Amino acid sequence: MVDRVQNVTRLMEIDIEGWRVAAIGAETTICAAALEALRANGGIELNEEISPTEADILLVSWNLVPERSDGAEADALVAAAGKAAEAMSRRGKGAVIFLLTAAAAIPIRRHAEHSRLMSAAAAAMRCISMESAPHVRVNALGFGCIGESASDSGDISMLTHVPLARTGKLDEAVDAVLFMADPLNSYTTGQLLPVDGGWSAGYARSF
Amino acid sequence: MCKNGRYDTVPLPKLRVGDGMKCDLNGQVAIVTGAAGAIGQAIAARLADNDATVVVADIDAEGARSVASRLRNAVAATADITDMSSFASTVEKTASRFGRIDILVNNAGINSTDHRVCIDEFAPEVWDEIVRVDLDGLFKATRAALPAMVMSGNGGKVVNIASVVGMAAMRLQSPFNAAKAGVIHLTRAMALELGPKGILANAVAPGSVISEPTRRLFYGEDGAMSDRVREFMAHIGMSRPARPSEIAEAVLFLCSPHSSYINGQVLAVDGGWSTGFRM
Ligand SMILES: NC(=O)c1ccc[n+]([C@@H]2O[C@H](COP(=O)([O-])OP(=O)(O)OC[C@H]3O[C@@H](n4cnc5c(N)ncnc54)[C@H](O)[C@@H]3O)[C@@H](O)[C@H]2O)c1
Repeated sequence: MVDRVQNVTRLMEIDIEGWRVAAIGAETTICAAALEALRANGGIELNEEISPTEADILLVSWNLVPERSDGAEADALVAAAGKAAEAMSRRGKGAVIFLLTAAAAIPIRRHAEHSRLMSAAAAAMRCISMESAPHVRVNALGFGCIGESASDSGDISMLTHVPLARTGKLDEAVDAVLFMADPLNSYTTGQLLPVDGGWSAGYARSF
Repeated sequence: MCKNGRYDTVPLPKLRVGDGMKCDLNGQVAIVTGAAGAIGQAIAARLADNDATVVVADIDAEGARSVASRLRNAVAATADITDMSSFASTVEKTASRFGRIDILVNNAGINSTDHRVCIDEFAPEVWDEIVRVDLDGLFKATRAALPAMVMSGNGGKVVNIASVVGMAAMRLQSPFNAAKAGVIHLTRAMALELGPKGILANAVAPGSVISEPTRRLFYGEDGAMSDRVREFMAHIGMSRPARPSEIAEAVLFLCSPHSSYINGQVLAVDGGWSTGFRM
C-alpha cells in the first residue's frame, strides 16, 4: 500500500504576506520549524528586541516532551500570550497559536505534572480567545508522538494506541500550525485540535 | 450583556478572494454529499480550486447540476444518502469514470425549522426523518463509498459535517442534537477502525452559518441585526454567523494530505460559540 504521507513533498501554502510573526516560550523543534514555515509563507519574523505584543501571529510554545515539562514559566507564558492577544485585539487582527501536546485533551497517568500543565494551558487559551474576540483567533494544537521515537513531542508509549500506528512527521505538525495561521480560517477560535494520529479519539487512554 | 455594548455584534468582514490556503489535491477524486446546498457548494468549490475532481452529489438533481456547471473539474450526481443502493451506484460510476475515490465529505443533512418544540411534544415522524438522513444516511453513504476507497490502496479521507449542537445541546431540536452527537462519535469510531487501512476520519462542527437566502434573517435592509439575532449572537465570540467559505476552509484542510496525522478529531468552526461561557 502506498503511504500517502511519503507522497507529500511540500508544505501547504497560506497567504500571510507582511504579517509579523513571533514565538514565545520553549525552544522546540516544532516551534522552530513552524516559524520557518510562517516566514516562507510571507510572514516577517520580529527580531528579539521587539516586543511580541507587536506580532500578528504569535506561537506560544510549551515543552512538548513530557519529561522536560516545567511549570515554573507557565503563568508568565500565559500572561504574555494574553497581553499579545490584547494588543492584537486593539489593532483589529491577529492569531495566537498554543503549541501543546495531546495531553491537553486526555491526561496521561505517568505524566501527571505535564498533563496538568497542558490542560491548564488549553483552558487559558480558551479564556484568552473569549477575551480577545471578535477580531483575534486563539487556538491550540495538541501534538501526539511527533518525530522518530517521539523526539519532538509526546511519549513513545502512546504509539500503541495510535490507529495510524506511526509517529507523526515534523511537516505534519507544521502544516497544522499553518492551518491555524491561515487568514481564511477565520471562524475557528477557542479550539484545541489534536495532531496525534487518532490517539485521543478513543479507547484505552491510560497506561 | 449585549445591550451595554461590551460585545458589539460585528458585520461580516469583506470577503478576501484568492488568499486561502493552497493544498495539492491534483489527481484526487472527491464526493461531496449535499453539495447543492450552501455549505456543500462552498466545500466543492474549495476542493475544485485545489485541483481535486469533485462529484457534486445531491438528492436535488437540478441544484447539483447547477453547482457542478459553475466549477471546473466537477460533475453532478443525483444521489440519496438514505438509499444505499442509490448511493452505491454514484460510487460505482465515480470509480469507473475516474478510477479512484480519495475523499468523501458527508455534508448532506436536514433539520426542521418549523417544528421546534420540547421533546415531550416532539413529533416522532419528524424525529425519524431527521435521524434517518443525518445519522443513518451518513452511515449508508460512508458504507457504500468505503469499499472503493479501501480497494484503491491510496488511503483516503472522510470528513463528516456535524454541528456544534452535537457538542453542546440546543433547545427544541432534540433529533438534530442526537443525530449530530451520533455523527461525532461515529467519526471517532471510524478513525479507530479505518486508520489502520490508511483512511482518516474527522469531523467539522459548524456553528451558525449564513447563506445568501438566510442573510436577510440575520441582517435587515440597513445591514443591522434584529434584537433577537443580536442577543443570540452575543453568545458567539465572533458575534456573527459564519460564511460557508469559512467552514469550507477547515474542510479543505482536513481533506488534504497536509492533515495526514489528524484523525478522529472534531473541529468546531463556530466563532468561539462552544469555547466557554461568555458573561
Ligand atoms: N447552516 C447551518 O447553520 C449549519 C450549522 C451546523 C451544521 N450544519 C450542517 O451542515 C450541512 C450542510 O448544511 P447547509 O446549511 O448547507 O444546508 P442546505 O439545506 O443548504 O444543504 C443541504 C443539502 O443536502 C441535500 N440533501 C438533503 N437530504 C439529502 C439526501 N437524503 N441525500 C442527498 N442529499 C440530501 C439538500 O438537497 C441540500 O442541497 C448539514 O449537514 C447541516 O446539518 C449547518
